Amino acid sequence: MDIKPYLDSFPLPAKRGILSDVNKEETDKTIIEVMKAPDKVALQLVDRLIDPGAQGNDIQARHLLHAMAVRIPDYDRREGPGLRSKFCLALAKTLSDKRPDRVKAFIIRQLQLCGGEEVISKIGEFLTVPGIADDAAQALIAIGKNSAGQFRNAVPMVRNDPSLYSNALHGLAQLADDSSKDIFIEALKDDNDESRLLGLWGLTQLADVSTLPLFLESELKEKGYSRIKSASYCLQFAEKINKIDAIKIYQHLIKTRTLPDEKYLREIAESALK
Amino acid sequence: MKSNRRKFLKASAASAASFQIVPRHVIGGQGHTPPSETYGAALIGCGGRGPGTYESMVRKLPARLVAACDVQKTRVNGYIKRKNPDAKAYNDFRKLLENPDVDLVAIATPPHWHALISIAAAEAGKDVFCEKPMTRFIAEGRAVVEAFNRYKRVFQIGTNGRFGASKSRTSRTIHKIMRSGLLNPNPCVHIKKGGLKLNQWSGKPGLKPRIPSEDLDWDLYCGPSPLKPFVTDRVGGTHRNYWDYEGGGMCDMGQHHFDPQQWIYGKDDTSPVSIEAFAPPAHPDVTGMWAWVELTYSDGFTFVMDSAEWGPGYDKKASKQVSLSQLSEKDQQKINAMPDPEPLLSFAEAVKQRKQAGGHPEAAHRAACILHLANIAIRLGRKLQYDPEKEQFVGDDEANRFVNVPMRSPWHL
Repeated sequence: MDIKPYLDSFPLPAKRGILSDVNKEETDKTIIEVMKAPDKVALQLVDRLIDPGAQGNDIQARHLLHAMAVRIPDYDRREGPGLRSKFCLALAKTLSDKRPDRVKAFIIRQLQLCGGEEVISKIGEFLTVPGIADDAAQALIAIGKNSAGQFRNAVPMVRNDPSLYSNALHGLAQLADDSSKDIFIEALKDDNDESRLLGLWGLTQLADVSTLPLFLESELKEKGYSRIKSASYCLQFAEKINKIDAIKIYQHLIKTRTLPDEKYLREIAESALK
Repeated sequence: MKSNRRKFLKASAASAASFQIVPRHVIGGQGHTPPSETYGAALIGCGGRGPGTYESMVRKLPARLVAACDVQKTRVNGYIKRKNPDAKAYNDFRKLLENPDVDLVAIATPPHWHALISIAAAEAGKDVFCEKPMTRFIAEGRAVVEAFNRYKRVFQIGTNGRFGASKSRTSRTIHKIMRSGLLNPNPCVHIKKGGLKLNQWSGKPGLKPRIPSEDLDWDLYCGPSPLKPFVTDRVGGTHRNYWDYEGGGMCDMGQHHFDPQQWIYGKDDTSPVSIEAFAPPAHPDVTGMWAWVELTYSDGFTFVMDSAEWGPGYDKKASKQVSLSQLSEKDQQKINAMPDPEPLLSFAEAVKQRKQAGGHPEAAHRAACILHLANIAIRLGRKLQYDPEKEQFVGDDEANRFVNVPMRSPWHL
């Protein structure tokens, strides 16, 4: 399959370097054509991607690959299932090859837009790879709750890298993963402010009242901006649970936010108790 | 979640509802001046619109600059030197928000930071004046609404058109007709032709990455957005050309135009249900060309954006103004008997009276949604159905990935 005509239908920078010379009719025709064999086209496009800054030009290849990623779910719905997963699996397969990190990150970002269950484990492998882990995390979060297992698996492997650990905690908290209660509790003991706050946020997301005593004890240790943030988690936790337990949180805030500058927090808590 | 959202919508629909909680400034306390003196004011994001946004915030308020913040050291230092050498300089907004002398915060960073900093400021007990567009994506706006309801702080979006619009008799009449629901189905169409700076804020793909200057904290600049190789155009006014930070001329100019129109047409508490765009495939990184976008509300009322800078002009529907003559005589009498809407409070009045400002979070969020919905339709290349209450696309899971875009750790809504 010769994809050059498809690429040529996509614009190159024109005046001022912007993509103003674009022909919608031609690009639309190309998209209809490439959707007949999205997996094969995807593989060829990926081979044309280059590391940003490297010699060459992959503007059209990136553009066409992205157009396929955003439009294929609709083709899949209209023209029968299978197209999307075929395309995504082809893209995911290229992540095993030797390619520059920023190229892999770009491929993962396209999977963020159209990927499903079929690519979760492949993307999950990158949660332990510095420089790509945050791209992988955001793609998995977009794909949804079923990807939580990838973050849970990554936690023990990244435990000693503050950035990767924070990335994994963040994913689990964002997905409100019910099975991560102990992971969030463990994070409360971390030396790193960010990890502790993510632990508190994770518990807030779960709003499991059995964790409330530990949550309140831990949030109280935070200082400065983290103290401001942990008070917010208290209020959000309270909004999610039964009234009797919520009262404990509001009373905790009234009792502990005693600085003059924290009067607004006491007032919010007092107002919630009325 | 659903019931909470309804509760929030209801709460924020009462735009002039007063807060019971007074600012720390009025309460006084250690390090605070009495109410007869000044508000401690701060600016976060000192480049471009920053100084102007700060001046808009403190207009008609007794305020002095006590702090400023920017991820570029020379920029914040330069601003403080010009404005008030006694003010404190910060490079990280989190540190600024710890400062108890700050009562009011003007936010003029690129938009990918607007929601997170607004929320953090509310959590720190500050009132906020935020540059437009309010957000980078839809879920951010809802989170801002929820935070300001939770903390009872004042928020005003940095566009003032709705104040003028609300003083016009014609606009007030249209507002009353729309809010009455008497014109349903509504055949009217408002077309915004041109003025959305399509070419000016279209991006240049393929620029070569460079090493950022030591003056700039590139990681913090990117913040919740993907950490990509530094390209000069990603910083400064041209940040608008990147989906990672804004959304082209649509987001730069759209809130100016549609925020007052949204008030006039009584749509501050809802969003369009159907969105269709005529555009070529969008580039993954940079903003580009589009011809028109049509956004229709559940009552049939339609907003149209016609770029007038690329492609065919919009010709599906003609412009049609809402007027009393479209109603029966009996309904016209009902409209004439309706009281005028409550006057909109400026930021200064809202701060002093502890009431919600005219450009309150729900209104600003809904206005930003118009732009985001339009951009999502441009980017996806398909007609979309949207549920304004759930704030989700209907039957399109992948479109919903543009509603709540995952953030980079540790940032979250």
